Amino acid sequence: MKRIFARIFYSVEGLLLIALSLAMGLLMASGNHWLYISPRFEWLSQLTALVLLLVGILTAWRPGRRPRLSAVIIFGGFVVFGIGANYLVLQPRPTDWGFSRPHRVVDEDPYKIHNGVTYTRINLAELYELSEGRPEKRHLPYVVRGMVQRDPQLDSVHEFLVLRTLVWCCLADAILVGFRVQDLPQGHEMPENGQWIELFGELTEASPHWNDQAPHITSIFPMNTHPRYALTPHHIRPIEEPPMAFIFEIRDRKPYAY
Amino acid sequence: MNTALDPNLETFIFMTTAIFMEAAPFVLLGSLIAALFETFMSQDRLLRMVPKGKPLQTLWGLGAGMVLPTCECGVVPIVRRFMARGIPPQMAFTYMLAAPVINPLVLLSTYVAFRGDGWMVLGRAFFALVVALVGGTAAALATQYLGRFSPARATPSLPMAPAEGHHHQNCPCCTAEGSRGERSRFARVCVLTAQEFLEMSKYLIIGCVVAGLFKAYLWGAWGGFLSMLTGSLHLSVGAMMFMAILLCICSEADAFVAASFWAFGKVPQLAFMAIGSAVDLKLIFAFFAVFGTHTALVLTVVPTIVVYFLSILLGTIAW
Repeated sequence: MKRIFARIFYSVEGLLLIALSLAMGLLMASGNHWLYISPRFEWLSQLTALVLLLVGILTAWRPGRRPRLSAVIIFGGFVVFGIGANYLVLQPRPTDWGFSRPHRVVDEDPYKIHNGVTYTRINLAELYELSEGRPEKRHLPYVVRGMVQRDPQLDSVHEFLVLRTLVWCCLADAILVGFRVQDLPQGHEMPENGQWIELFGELTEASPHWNDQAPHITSIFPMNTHPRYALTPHHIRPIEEPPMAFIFEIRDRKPYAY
Repeated sequence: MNTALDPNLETFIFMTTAIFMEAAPFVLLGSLIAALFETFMSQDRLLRMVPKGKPLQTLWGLGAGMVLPTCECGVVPIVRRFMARGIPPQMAFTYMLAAPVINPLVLLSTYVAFRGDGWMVLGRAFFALVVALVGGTAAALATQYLGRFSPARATPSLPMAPAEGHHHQNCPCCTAEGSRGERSRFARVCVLTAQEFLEMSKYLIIGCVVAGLFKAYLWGAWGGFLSMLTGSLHLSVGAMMFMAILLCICSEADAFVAASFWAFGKVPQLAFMAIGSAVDLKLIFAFFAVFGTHTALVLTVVPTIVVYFLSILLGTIAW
């Protein structure tokens, strides 16, 4: 019996690595992996989980040292409470093949027609890039999705921001990217703060008072709204939050990732 | 998401987990490289590769990132293993500070993030070289004259060496199946990788938790404070550096975050990238644990001073 306990004791570090590997695997299987890391790096998380499983099994089977108490407490605490807490926060999302691959689920139709006008579907980050680098494309009609951010300063001039979260690698480097929306069409009410909208419109020069009235908006991510261009809508309609709320992909030609 | 949870707590949980999951593959890779060195590279062979003289060692350290590119999370386990095997501190610390930036991937990501602005790429590389040169030399001197770095302390998991307090009673490492003679090289690499990963993950997790707390509970107020500093070069450089240290963003992605702070101007953006690749919360914890108090202080303070004054100088004369 003493030998069995000793065996388990010496295997603790390996078992922790196995637990971390399984927790990472479960997170990916739940379809929520993209909330932490860009889907383009999901393969890296899968590979990491696999390597951790392998080295964990070997370390549990053939431990090379007495377990370090500090490592066991900190690492064990993180695996149990840290990763475990995520399961309390998150609900499983629909996935394909058991793993989330939302970045590959792109509607390839590059256009959307509204009131007889053909709008190019594009996401806010792509439009931002385009406005900087391809001036000849600025004045085309576009349709974008984003979340409304109201502010008292902007309310006073009947304007608001439309934003989306752009993630390059993980949530730590996420930024909010978007535009100010100006010159609302006749009859359009200001959308509610936090409402997701689909905006059909075009890029226009931002009105000159922009720099004087750039609002400070508290958010958990840094915000990058275009300093020189704004969106002038032809039509705005409220929509549900997209299944993939973040932007992970920026394309420089059609079909845009939208 | 479960909306019943406090949003700040939810942000904390997400952010802490996200930073860990982003960094874990690179720490694992660093641990694997360290284990491969330990297993397959003999001491003599390794030391034969070390050039004679500090200038050459420094150059080797500066250029090694091009050959062995790693981010700042993965480089610490490699460097501590290097030093435990006799690589001179000058070379090891220079490599540690340069490699997360002086590699093709990071320079390319900076180029993309700043929309082809070659000056930002050059500026970033220049900052990294100066930081590596000055910080590496200072850290090497601190290790030589003040430090308490020892191979045993740095690598508590040296292969098959009995750990402190190891009494060889009923433990599998001393039984026939775990004996040194029977262990294959493959298994040895795996076990060493696991041990190195666990050691480094301790500090990574502490850093992730502190960064998550900052992001969840202080970022809102800090963001408001930041927006008031854009007019002052001294304050905006200091604030951006402070933020980079707290945010713990990987050097391969930090350019995109830096680019979003366009209102601050290019110099504070450069300062953000330069300090974040050399010093951040998770690294500070690792520095203190691995290199001892004096060297860790030097590794934290010297790059900070160098980046700050270089930024002010650049901001005053050039931008």
